Amino acid sequence: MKGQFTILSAVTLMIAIITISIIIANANLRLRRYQEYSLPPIIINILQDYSRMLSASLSKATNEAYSVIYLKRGNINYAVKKAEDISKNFVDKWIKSFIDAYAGLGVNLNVKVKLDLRWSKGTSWASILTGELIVEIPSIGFKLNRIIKQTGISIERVFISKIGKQYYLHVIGISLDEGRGIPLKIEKLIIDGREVNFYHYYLGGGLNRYLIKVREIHRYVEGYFEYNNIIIRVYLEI
Amino acid sequence: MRRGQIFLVSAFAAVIIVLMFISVAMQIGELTTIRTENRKLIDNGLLAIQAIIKSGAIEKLIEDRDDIPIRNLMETLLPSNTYYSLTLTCDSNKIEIYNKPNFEPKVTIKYIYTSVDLKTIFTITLRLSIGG
Repeated sequence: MKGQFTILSAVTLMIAIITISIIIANANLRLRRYQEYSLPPIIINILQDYSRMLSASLSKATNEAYSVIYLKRGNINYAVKKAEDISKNFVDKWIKSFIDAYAGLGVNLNVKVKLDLRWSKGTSWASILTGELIVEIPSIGFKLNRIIKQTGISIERVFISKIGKQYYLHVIGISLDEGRGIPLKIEKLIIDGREVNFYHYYLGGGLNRYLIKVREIHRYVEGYFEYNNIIIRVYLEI
Repeated sequence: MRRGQIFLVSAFAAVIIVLMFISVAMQIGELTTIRTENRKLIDNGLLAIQAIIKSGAIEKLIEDRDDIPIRNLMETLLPSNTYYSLTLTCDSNKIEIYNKPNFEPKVTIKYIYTSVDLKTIFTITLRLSIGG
């Protein structure tokens, strides 16, 4: 009888050990699979929406500057100041949205933005927003020091040519986000203080040609160009 | 107590201890199963949200009041037995799209979306559950 008990106990123990091993191995496997995708949705969300937020903020800012300069005939310094305020307010609203949405996590989100509107007379023009993102979520032990991103458009060269009796305006536009030349739509084109009509030809590689319906150009060209809702102003003295 | 009886009691005690271990291990296993299932739901939900954003369906919903693109994407991308309720909030405005009213969600995903075209920040709340 004693021998039978020993055998029974040994068999029971063996079965139990094997069962436990299988269960633990299975649990470990699941746990590892779970950990493979353990990047929290908030991190994915912040990183994906950061670029969109900068683009939208720049779009709002440049539209405001356009409205101040062209529609309300305000001066350029005041327009830039207004645009900076609009941009910062939009960023603050974005930060607040994250803090509200992920209230339980204790998100510490900091975004510094610098607006660069080169809209006065010169040789190159730009509408650029630079953002610096810092994220800290102590509850999940996550810290992201600095992500610097630039968004916007620039105009590297503007020149006017006259072929026969026709005037042509040439503009080379570049998108910082896409890193390539872009077609630029004209919102308004003013020559010597008068709004003029034009035909747009996109020649590729960022080169835009506009046939201007004007007899003579004496003093200056003022143009408001648009790409992806971002506006840029060019002021060229003849 | 005889030596045989002591041996018998010890054997039973050993079996009970082993059974306790098994039940604890099974509970850990179940817990990780639930976590993995929820993780799958979260991943599917995030994929669906990203697809909705990339397709411009949110802009279409706001501008044209057309929720069909969002419904089509949700029904294509989520497993067929998934209940969903997607709420789009902007300031005090709220739009809700669902395939079953008032269900108990297993996971809730929040996602902030900035629409460049509309220059607006939306909070997307997606509640998901597995149906029968």
